[in-house]
Order: sequence, then C-alpha cells, then structure tokens
Amino acid sequence: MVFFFTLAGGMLSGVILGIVLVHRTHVRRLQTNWQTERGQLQETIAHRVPATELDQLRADHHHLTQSLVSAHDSQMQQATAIQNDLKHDFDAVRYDYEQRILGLENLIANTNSDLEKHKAALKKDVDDLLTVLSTFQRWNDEMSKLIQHNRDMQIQNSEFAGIVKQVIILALNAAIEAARAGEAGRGFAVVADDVKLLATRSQGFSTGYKESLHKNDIITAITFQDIQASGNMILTSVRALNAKLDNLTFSAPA
Amino acid sequence: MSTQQGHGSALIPDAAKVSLENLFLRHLQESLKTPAHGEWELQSLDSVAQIKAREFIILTVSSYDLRTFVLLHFSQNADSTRYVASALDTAPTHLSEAAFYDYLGEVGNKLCGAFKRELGQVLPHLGMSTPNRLPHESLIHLQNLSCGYDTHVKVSTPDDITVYASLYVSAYGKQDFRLDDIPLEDTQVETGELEMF
Repeated sequence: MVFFFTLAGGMLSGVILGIVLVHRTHVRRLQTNWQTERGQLQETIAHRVPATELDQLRADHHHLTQSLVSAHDSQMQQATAIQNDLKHDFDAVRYDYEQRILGLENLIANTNSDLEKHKAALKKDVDDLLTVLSTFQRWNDEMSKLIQHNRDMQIQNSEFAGIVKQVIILALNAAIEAARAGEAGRGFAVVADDVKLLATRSQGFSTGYKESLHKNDIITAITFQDIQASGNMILTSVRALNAKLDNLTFSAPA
Repeated sequence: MSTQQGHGSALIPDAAKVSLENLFLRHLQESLKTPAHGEWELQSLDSVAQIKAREFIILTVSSYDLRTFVLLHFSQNADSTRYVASALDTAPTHLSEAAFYDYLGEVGNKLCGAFKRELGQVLPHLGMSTPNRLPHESLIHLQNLSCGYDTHVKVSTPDDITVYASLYVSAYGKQDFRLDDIPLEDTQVETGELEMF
C-alpha cells in the first residue's frame, strides 16, 4: 500500500513537474515575441516625423528647389555666353586662316608662274645644248676623214718606200758599173755609195713613218671614239633630262 | 684568257674582270651567230701575239670613269667571205668589199651594243661609238697604251671560219672599279673544262 502511494505520489510529482516545465517554455516564447514586437514598435515610432517638422521640411525643400533652379538658370546663361564667345572666336580664327590660305594660294600661283618661266628657260637651254651636241656628228665626219687621210698617207708612204727600194737597187747597180769602169769609174762609185747611203736612211725614215702612221691610226681612232661615246653618253643624259622637263608640271592647289 | 694590269688606270678587281669577260664572251657568241653558223667555239689566248688577222674593227664604250674597247679581228679571205656571204644570203662571188666590211662592222655594233646595254644595268651613263676599221699593225700601239685589263679569244666554227676578239678596259675613277651586280652565267671556253664565271 505504501508502495502504491509512493508510486502514485511519484507519478503525480512527475506530472506536475512536466506541467511546470511546459509552462516555463511557453512563458519564455511569449517574452521573446513581446520583445520583438516592442522593438519593431519602437523603430516605427522612431521613424515617424512630427507634423511641425514635416512642414519645415517641405519649406526647406521648396527653398532648396528654388535655389537650384536659379543656379541652373544662371549657369545656362553663362554657358550661352561662353558659347557665343567661342563662336565669335571660331569665326575670327576661321576668317584668319581663310585669309592665310588665300595668301598661300596666291603665293603658290605666283611661284608656279615663276617655275614655269624657269622651266621654259631651262627647256630652251637644253634644246640649245642638244643642238650643240649635234657637233658630235660633225666631229664624227671629220674624224672619219682623218682616218681615211691616214690611210692615204700609208699608201703614199708605201709608194715612197717602193721608190727608195728601187733607188737602193739603182745605187747598187751603179756601184757595180763603177767598179767595172775601174779607175775611170772611181768618182762615180763614190756618188753611187752616197746615193745608196741616202736611200738606206730614207728607207729607215719610211719604216719609222709607217709605224708612226699606225700609231696615229689607233690614237686617232680611240680618242675620237672616246669623244664620240662620251658625246653619246652626254646626249642620252640630256635627252633624259629633257624628257623629265617635259613631264614636270606645276599644278595649282585644289 | 689573257689578262694584264696596265699603268695609269684605277685598279680593276679580279671579280670585275671576270664579270666583264663573261659579258663580253656571251655577247660575242650571240653576235656572230647566223642561221648557217650557229656554233662558235671559244679558245682563250695567252697573248695578243697569237692573233692572226690583217685588220680589226674597234668600238668604244665610255662612261665617266670607265673606257672599254671592243675589237673584232679578221682577215678578208675565202673563209670570212663565205661566212659573210651566207649571213647576207648571197653568193661569195657576189659579195662586194663594202658589203663585207659593213656586215662585220654591224657584228661589232651588235656585240658592243649588247655589251653596253647589259653593262648599263649596273653602270649608268654609258655611251657607245661607231666602229672604225684599222690595220693589224696598229694593234701593238693599242697594247702599249695604258690599260687596266685586256683579254683575247679565238672564235671559230667547225668549218674553219676563224675570227678573233679582244676586250680592253681602263678605269679612271678615284675608287677601285666594282662590278658586282652583273649576273653570273656560264660560258663554254675551249680549255677542256667549263669555266665558271
């Protein structure tokens, strides 16, 4: 029996303890909710502006807006003034540059005119030079005559050498005949020896003259050819210069 | 080829001599070619004394600082008359002396003109002379003149037509003469091997 009552009492105590624990938990949750709601309410209240302050704020706002509009209008006026100044400056600069360009165009036109005059004068000089260079052809003709003249002199010298050779033979024959005549021909033998001596010297001169003519031939030919070739070189260069002058134009600026 | 360095002229480097000789020989063969005689054999000569001809045609190519003589040596005989007559498509008996010399002068013109044109690609401002014909006896006096370089060659066909050619070069510039830009080509010379230029 005692055990029964003890057990019943224990069970009752447990129930009571459970009820107390549940109650405490509920109370704590309520406390938490209350604190949260109170915080929210306090925050709401804090953001609320009083009516008097609101009017003041509206007035301030209006005043500020008026100030800003006024400042904007002022700045717009300043901007317009600056724009007008800039346009005026731009027009002045443009006019100045237009005047300068006009001056440069006139200068170029005058320069081109001068260049055309110089070109015409230079062209005339080059044409004259080309005419002067035509003398090369005359030199060519004269040099050909000189070479032919050398050739003729070679022929004459050959004839002269032939005559000298015959004179030598004659002198030899005369010497033989003088020897045959004995004492009577002694004087004639001296003359024959002198003639032979002169003829032999003439033969030597003729041989030297022949060599000189050959040397003259080659010196004449290469000297003339160098003049002719150099003349052609100059002529080609002057013609090239002339062609460049023909293609040289001085155009007015676009 | 025979080469000599004379006095009184600027130095011509070996490379330039080879280039000039190459140009000369190449155009020599081309200038002599005819339909009947298309193959000419080149034989280098050691000395001008080996040239056996009675006369020669001479032409000059000149520049500011360069002078070259192109010579074509020949004798008027049956073989050379046959060559010229066939080139002019006429019978040897109908070939006049004037026509003979005119044709060989034209060969000289062709040779010298081609030589000058190609030389002009690396040496601007060149001029060329007309040909003159001189007796062989004059040649020794050319040899004695100041010349920086000379070369001589015998040129012949299989049917025994023979001419000779010479090139003389003098340079007068203040600086050594250079001719490095002439294209290098091969020319067949009868020395048993291909000479590379």
